[in-house]
Formats: sequence, structure tokens, C-alpha cells
Amino acid sequence: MIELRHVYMVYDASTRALNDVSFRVDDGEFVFIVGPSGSGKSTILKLLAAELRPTEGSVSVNGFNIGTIRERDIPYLRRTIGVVYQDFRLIENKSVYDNVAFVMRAVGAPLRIIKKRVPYVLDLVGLQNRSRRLPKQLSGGEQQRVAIARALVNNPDVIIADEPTGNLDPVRSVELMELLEKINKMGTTVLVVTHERELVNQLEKRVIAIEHGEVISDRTGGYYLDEL
Amino acid sequence: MNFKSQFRPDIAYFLKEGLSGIRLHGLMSVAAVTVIAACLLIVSTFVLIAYNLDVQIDSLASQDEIAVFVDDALSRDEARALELSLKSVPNVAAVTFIPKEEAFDRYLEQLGEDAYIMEALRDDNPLRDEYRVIMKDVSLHDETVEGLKAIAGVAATNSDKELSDRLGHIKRIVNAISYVLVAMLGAVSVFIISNTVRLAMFARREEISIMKMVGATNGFISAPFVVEGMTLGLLAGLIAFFAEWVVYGYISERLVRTSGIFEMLGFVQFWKVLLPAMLVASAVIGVLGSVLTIRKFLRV
Repeated sequence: MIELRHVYMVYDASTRALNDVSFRVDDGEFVFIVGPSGSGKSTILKLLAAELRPTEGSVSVNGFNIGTIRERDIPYLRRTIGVVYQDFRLIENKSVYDNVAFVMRAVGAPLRIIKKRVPYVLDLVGLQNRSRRLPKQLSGGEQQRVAIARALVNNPDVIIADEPTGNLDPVRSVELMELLEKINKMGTTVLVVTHERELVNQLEKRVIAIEHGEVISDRTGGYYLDEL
Repeated sequence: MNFKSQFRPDIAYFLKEGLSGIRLHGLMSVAAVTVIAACLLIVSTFVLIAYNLDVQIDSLASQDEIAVFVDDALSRDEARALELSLKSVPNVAAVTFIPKEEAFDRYLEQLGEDAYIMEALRDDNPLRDEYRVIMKDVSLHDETVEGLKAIAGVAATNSDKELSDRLGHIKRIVNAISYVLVAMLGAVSVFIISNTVRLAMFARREEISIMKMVGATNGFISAPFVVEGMTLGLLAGLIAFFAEWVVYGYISERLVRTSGIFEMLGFVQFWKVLLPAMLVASAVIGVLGSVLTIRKFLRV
């Protein structure tokens, strides 16, 4: 579960990134966070991953309090979150399989579990036949699915996707959203930060709209606001 | 699936990744190892010289003999008569008279092949009659020398203890140089390791940022780089040890030949201590250098 309560984030005297932001995302929800560039979306994502700490207010992620979390506990918080980026951020010289296996290794998973889990997750994102390829041998959509497999493989409570369709064509974008929906149906909370009006309106999920560091709308089954 | 409780250090993985880092930056690794080995060699040479001086000083200081030179103005009989006065000085155990002719012969003997140069002086012997005084207690050396010098007819004294005091002065200088070198070259070595590891981390920054993002602990991320730094350090230590073997042999041979009195310990007498000491020092340099870089790099 994610909960922000009266969160203020001030970078310096002139930059106020978040201004009294409160919302809550329950386990198993699928939520879009929308808003123009510079509205504060990225700040929210950084807070959730404990890359930043709130200036004021409280941020709670899967039982961790971001304001007070100890430095050495941050890795354990991050194991409960899977992040997918717009630019995929895959390791170029590792195969698809190794890109995914590597993150299991990084959290100390035993080899026999890695060997079972990685093919399962690659199958889930439809890349079972691409496991030996290098990222550059894949299309953009496939690379993003590798990124999703990597985010999923440690079985996080929440998947956070930051503009996941930013580099994809409309058809691939729809496929990707369908994949995220499938993952959500399996019980994982999904939080998607996006600009894509069409996609948001098509899926009819909960939409939290942010502008100038404030929540201006939070509607379940909502639409991308026209004025954004 | 939370692996927190199942986590155990994956030694094979750390070794593989660490060693691959060294291979990846082969030239830089070779340069780093060479410079660090040179630093270690310089430091260990100075430390060994200081140690040898120490041993030499101790052995000289433990000599219980004092040479007492008789005033030239005294006749042979007067010189012989000094024996009683010398024996009456406290702490004197035994006294042996050495006439200057015998002293000259001994001197020629010491010179060996070069003795012919001095042979011409036999009739105009520049040496003095002397006594060899043996002390009961070496620790009372200074008081004994004072007592001997107070006797009329005694021109000068000489003992290994006096030489040992002079060597003590040299040793303090060598020690001071050693400390400065340890600090300076140690810092240089740490800096070099730290730079090499920085290069390795920079090449893998994307991987590191992904590892952080998925919740790898700093320990897990750092371990391969610590392995890399330590391996570079250990390699340098090993090379420096063998280089020291050669250099030490050369120095001790030269020093013994030119000084005539200064004896150095054989390498075999201390290599069993030197090798582990150098390996530990180089491993510490390696770990310290890598940890310094890692700490800076991982601060997010």
C-alpha cells in the first residue's frame, strides 16, 4: 500500500515541487498518475523509491516510512517495488535472460530459484523465445517487455511504470498496457505515470491528476482531464 | 518472494565480477600494479635498512670491550704501569695491554690485500699503545668510560657502544625517512587503486544504478570492486616482494663491501615475516583504495 499525507517537497526557496499532496493507493489497484511536465510526477516517483525524503508530511510505501527509513533499509524497500522506465534501462551487453536474472542475483536469490523464475516471467511477458538475444536485437516494445519482466521478477508488491509507452508506437503501447493490466489482475499493484491521453481514457482506471505540485483531481474510472 | 532472509554472500560471483574488472581495464591494471609495486619496494627497502641498523646497533651496544689509548708522551714502562690504575676503575673486569707494534700488525691484517700501502709506515708507526678493557656490566658503559678517561696518561677511548650511539643517530634519520615514505607512498598507492576502481565503476555505472533500483545492498554492489582493488594490491605486493629480494641482495652486498663493518642480515632470515607483512599491507591498500571510491560513488 502507498499513502501520501500532506506531503510538501521543497527543493530550494524558489522551487516547491509538491504542495500538500495526499492520496492513497491500496493493494491490487491500477492507478494512472497524469499531469504536464514539471507538475511534480517525477518527484512523487522519487519519493516512493526513497531517492528523496519529503520536506513535510508522510510517505508510506509497503510498510516503510520514507521520511524516517534508515539508509540501510532502503534496498529492502526497493525490493517491494518494480520500476519500469521510459528508456528501458537494460544492460546492453547482457542477454535478455541475464538482464532479468541479474536482478534476482542482486537480491541474493538462490540459483535454482533464478533458473525457475526467469523463464516463467519471460513467458509471462511473451519473450520466452528471445531469452538469448541482446537488447539491441529487440524492438522497442520487446525491450520494454524485458524491462517489465525485470521489474516483475522479484515479485514486488507494486510496479511503478514511468512513461512506459513514451518510446513506443500506439499499437505497442496498447499491448504494453494490456500486459500491465494482466499483471495487475494477478494481484500486483500498478502505478503508471503517463502523458498518453488515449490510453488513459481507453482503460477507465483510477486517474490522479497533478498540476503545479497539487492533486487537482482523483477519480476512479476517470478520464484524462481535457484541461491538462 | 523476499530473499532478505536467504541472502548469503555469493563469493564465486564477487570473484568472477572483480577479476573481470581487472581484465576489462588491462592496461590501467598493469600500470596501477607497477606503480604500487614500486612504492612498496621503496618503502620496504627503507624499512629493512632501518631494521638492519637496529640489529647492528643492538649488537654493538652489547659489546663489553673498550679500547683505551695511551698518551704518546708516556714511555713503554709508564704505559704498562697504567694497568693497575685501569683495573681499579669500577666495573672493569679485565685489562689486556696491546703494544702499538702489535696493533699495527693487526691493522695490516684487517687491510688484507691493501696492507702494502701502510707497510711503509712501519718504522714511523702512527698508532698508540692501547689497552683492551672488558666491562662487567655493559649498561654502565658511560660511567666506566668516564672513569678510564679520568686517569692521567689515557689519551682517548673508543668502543662499539660509541659507534652504536653514532649509528643510532643515522637510524633516527632513516626511521624518519621511512615514516614519511610510508605515509606518502601509501597515500599514492591508495589513490592509484581508488582511481582504477573508479574507472571500473564508471564503466558499470548503468549496471550499478539498476542494482540500486532493484534493491541490491551496497555491500553486494561493492564486493566485486573491493575484490578488484584487493587483487591489484596483492599482485603489487607479490611483485614488490620478489623485487625486494633482488634489491636487498644487491644493497647488502654493496654495503658490506664498501663499509667493511656494516653487516646486513640475510634475506632468508626474515622473508617469512616480510612476505605476509607486504601482502597484508598491499591488501589493506587495495581495500582502502576501493572503499574510498565506492563510498563516493554509491552516495545517492
